Amino acid sequence: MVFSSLTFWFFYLPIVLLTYYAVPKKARNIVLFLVSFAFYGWGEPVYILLMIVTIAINYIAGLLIAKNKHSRSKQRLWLILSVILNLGILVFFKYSGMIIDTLNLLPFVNITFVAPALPIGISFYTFQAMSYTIDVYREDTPEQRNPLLLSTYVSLFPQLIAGPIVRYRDVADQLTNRKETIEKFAKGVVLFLVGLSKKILLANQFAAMAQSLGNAGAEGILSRWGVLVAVSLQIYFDFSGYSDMARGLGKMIGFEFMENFNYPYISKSITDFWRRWHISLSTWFRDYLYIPLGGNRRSAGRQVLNLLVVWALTGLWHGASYNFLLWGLYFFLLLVIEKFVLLKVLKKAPSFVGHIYALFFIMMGWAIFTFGENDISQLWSFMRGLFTAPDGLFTEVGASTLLSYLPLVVIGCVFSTPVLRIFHRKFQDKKLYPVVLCACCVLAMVLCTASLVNDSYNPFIYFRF
Amino acid sequence: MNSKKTQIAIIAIFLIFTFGLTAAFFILPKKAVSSDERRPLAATPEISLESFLSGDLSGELEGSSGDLSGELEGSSGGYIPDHFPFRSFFVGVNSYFNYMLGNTASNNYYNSRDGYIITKPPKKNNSEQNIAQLNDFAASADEKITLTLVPSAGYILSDLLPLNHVSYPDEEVFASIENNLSEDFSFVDLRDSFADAHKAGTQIYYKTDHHWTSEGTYLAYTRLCESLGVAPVAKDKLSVSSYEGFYGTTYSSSGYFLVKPDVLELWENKAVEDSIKVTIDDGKEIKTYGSMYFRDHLEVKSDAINDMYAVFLNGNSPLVTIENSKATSDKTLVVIKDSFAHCMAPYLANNYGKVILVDLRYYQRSVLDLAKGEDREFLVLYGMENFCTDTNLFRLNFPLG
Repeated sequence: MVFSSLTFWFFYLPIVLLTYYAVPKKARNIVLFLVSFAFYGWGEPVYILLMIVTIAINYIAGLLIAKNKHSRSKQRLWLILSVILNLGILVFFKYSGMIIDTLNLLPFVNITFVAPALPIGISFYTFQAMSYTIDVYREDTPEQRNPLLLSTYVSLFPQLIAGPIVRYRDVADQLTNRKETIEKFAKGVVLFLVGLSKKILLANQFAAMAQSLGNAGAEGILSRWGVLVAVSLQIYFDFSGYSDMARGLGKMIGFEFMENFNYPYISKSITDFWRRWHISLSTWFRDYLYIPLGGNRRSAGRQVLNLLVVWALTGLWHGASYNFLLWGLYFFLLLVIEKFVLLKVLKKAPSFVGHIYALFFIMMGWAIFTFGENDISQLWSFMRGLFTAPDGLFTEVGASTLLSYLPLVVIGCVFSTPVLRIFHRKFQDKKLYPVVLCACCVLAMVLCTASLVNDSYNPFIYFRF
Repeated sequence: MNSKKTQIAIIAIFLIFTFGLTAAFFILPKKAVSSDERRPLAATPEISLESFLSGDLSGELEGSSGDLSGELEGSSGGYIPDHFPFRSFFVGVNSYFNYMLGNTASNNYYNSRDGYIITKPPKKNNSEQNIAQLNDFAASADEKITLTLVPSAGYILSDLLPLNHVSYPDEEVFASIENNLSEDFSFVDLRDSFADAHKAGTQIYYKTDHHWTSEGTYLAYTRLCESLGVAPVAKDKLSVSSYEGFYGTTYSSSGYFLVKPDVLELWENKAVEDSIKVTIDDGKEIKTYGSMYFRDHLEVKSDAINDMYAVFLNGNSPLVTIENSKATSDKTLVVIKDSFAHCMAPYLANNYGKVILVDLRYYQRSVLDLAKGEDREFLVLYGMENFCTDTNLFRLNFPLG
């Protein structure tokens, strides 16, 4: 199930809120566990079994690690085994198709293999589950003896399918001691509506804009830039909207999750960008991979190697296709250049230089991310077309589309900056503030519902009975 | 948001909206068909552990997600979106919101001046292939053959369109007809007559439907008669009756619920009323009727599929034959057509003892075999949009069986 659907908002959520607040505090985690599994199983119930296996692996590993406190080597053995199993499941379900396809490129290999369908959210919850076992191993947190609580943590529906990737130690306490308050619920409502609006009123529209311009096949240089701008805005509002919804839903049931995005498009460098974009993922890779590899405490050469490993894997985490690997390596290259040379230069330059530089390379990155999946040559011709115009500026349809979406693009650009947050802070004490805030909530709810209903509106004009 | 009052107000608004719509969904009666969308709505799915575990339940409740390009017309929705409360209100809100944001072609329709909702130009243009098919057909038919295309509403009414619109394919298609249409055809170009009539204030097209009005059609009929070499029935011989409350296809599809309905007029020749026999072959059975007008379509029902334009010949059918024993000639006219011809056929029936209407979207047999041996002529009559998008004209040359 996705948050941005009528089913979630008007059927699933009411049931969750009713049952959650109807039962006594002690039973609330059981409710969360049940509704989270129903949420995950919606549409593809078989994958519930897979999630149970992942939970079981980490539950048992956590107990065994805790039991062998006297022997670090035994602890390490159990940790390694659990990591192998976790990653093994992830690799099988997510990457087996890609691996087999690659092997088949070799002349003497010919494997016929039907790759399994990708279980939704597997990359997110596998990383969450692993963070638990690793945290126990590092003694950052005690083991969880109650399987129900560990299951609730892994399957918690707000962040189950699109993050943020919550580390176990950050919510361990909240699992048993959290307070649901009116203030949290109200903030949760606003955050949920902000996220929903980002996803439905902005991201979906930018997707439609890119599509009606022709995506990678857009004709005319301005149309291609329009596609790139649309795609960049779409990815940001889609993903950050989802994170906002997750945090908002979490607040409604008393949880506090970390912020996942911090206005990434106002970054002054790529280093800055990755501190602001999908923060929970970068944090995960930093804590559980980069620092264990030695981080930047080792020689320059080793540092570069560590970064290479981290960014290759970060790229691949986003999808089982070589363009994601390329995308990760692209950022590796930029980050290494920044680390050793460019950051010093950028510091001295006026800040608009940094903004333009960062946005340019971020957007080129989105081209690799979006258009390289099936056909690298298509990506290449798209990128070349951003700088050459053999087919003119735009087509007539392209011009009309660009004009149609121009107001929305402007709105999207403004909302990518903290302007609204600053305005909100200043306006907060004014008399009119509560009325305006309530009005905005109503407007957001009506417009989001309207758009969701419209998606299902399929007039059949040439009917025949 | 620091005051408790504000917090409680926010929570209340959210819960009332959410639970209110949920409650409305369960309380409000469910419709079997959507009259705006002209399709049956999803049936109540069976809710059981079994249907949940098989994954069928989610599909039946939610349906397939909306198609961005809108090309999957008529795909059925899920139970929840299909029966969502105040559905047409929400669709309209969405359309007007997009329109206000500058997206003039929300849901592929232009919200235009004077209450017109005008279809966006088609994305593809098959007219070259269709002209080639017509040329092949004309070469194999010995009889006289006439072609006329109804210009796009957006082309004739371009002064009413929003400033930001894509241009219509009419110029291109008419130029291609001029260059490529075989000499066997006589071609009737309606552009100038329509443009002049529009300037003079005649309503040629419906505001909420993609078809032409009876008045616009009559104008085209007089022009057509010049080419066919027959005398059009005089305007003062026709009696006009009006029917209010016509919400047509562009209204339904666009969601612009604030526009006013059209008035549908019937221009009838009462002198031939009793001498008409209509035979409709709907592909399954053949039925005969005593009138070209099916007036039960003029009554608007809230729980049924309404289409007042279907008053003409009962809507789309593969094959319709109109016989008029009092026609000015006993010749036969075979019309290869789309639904624009439904409003035209009653006029033509004054001049031809037999008018046969073939819809190639549904009729797959040989058109050349129709009324073979009779004193027949051919007329090809299509709306511009269909002529650009239709892919069935090959059936003229490659019929089944």
